[in-house]
Amino acid sequence: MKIGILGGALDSDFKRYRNKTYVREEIKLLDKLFLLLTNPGLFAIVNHRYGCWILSRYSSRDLRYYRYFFNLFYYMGKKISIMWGKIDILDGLQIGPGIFISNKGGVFLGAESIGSNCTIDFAVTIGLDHNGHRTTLENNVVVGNNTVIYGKNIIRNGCVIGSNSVLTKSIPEKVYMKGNPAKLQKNNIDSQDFICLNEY
Amino acid sequence: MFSNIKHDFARYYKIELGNTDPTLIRKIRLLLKMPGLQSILIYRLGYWILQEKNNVFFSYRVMFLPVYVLLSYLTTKMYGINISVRANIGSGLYVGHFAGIEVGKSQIGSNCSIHQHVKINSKKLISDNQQTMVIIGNNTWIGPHAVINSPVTISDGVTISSGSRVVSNIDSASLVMGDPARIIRKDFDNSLLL
Repeated sequence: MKIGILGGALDSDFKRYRNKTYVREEIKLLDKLFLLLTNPGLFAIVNHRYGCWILSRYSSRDLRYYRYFFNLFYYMGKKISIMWGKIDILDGLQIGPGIFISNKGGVFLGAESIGSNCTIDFAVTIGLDHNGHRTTLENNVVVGNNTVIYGKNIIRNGCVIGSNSVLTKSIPEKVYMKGNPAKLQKNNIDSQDFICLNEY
Repeated sequence: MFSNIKHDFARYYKIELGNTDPTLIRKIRLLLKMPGLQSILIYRLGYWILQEKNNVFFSYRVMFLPVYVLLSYLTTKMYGINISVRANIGSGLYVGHFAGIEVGKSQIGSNCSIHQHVKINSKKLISDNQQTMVIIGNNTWIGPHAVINSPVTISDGVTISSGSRVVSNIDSASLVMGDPARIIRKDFDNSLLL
């Protein structure tokens, strides 16, 4: 999967945030600016994709001075997203198109890679354990608030992890896990039913 | 105050840089990068001002009080790290990330680690005989999203795993986990985590 600022990933990100505020069906440039300045979660994602684009485009040693110059704006944006939205995303983390991060913030993303159409609520930590292993999230995953996910495990397609839970193991497709430690609540669920964008 | 700050910096050098004696530029970059280190320094300033509360109006330290109030307000708003001066924290504290940290009235030993979304607070109880403060020993590792709200005593060398809610006293060198927290393992060595 190729990540880029022009790769169409940004358009699907904007579409995820469109539902909340009054924006037209076809997103114009002014609407994008309005969404960017009202949603701290979207600001953090856009800034992160900008940093990934710099890394992929100016990765060679000959172009390192361009990289240093464009990284200045990336780190400024990162500081703004830390102070405004309390959102910290690992440098160079692979995120698929159409991610939604809650505007309430407190989110720490340090995963191995994150697939497309994921939804992440506020106060979520996805990070590394004491051995240095990281978690992999696949597509259409929904993570509830105040949740910790760590360790060398894979969260498969369409999983839902409920609020106030701690998950340290790999889980199969389309299950609903909740609790501390997380236990199986329900099988064969549709993760899109759990998303209620008006409440974020 | 200054010996405590020296130990705090030494913890950060060891964990973030892996180096006991880095260069000056690296030290300044670390101070700008880590919100936890900044908030610890501001807490130490506030504790240094307010530790002699009885003769505080006769002391020159009260001159620094507006600076402390402004800076602590800024760290609370910008980073979400709220370390109260009513907490008595020993030397060498490490605060890893920034959001949702609340440290209220408590007593914390030296060489401890605190991570994001950790809540340490003491409830005010009605009866006088009971303990009213959270007491945490030395070399304690408190993982992210842990909550310690009831008045408990946690001994030295305890590892509190992420997302656990501590409701009872814990013996030394044990690993606790879960909601409510249970002792998973005794004689757990957390020297690699610290």
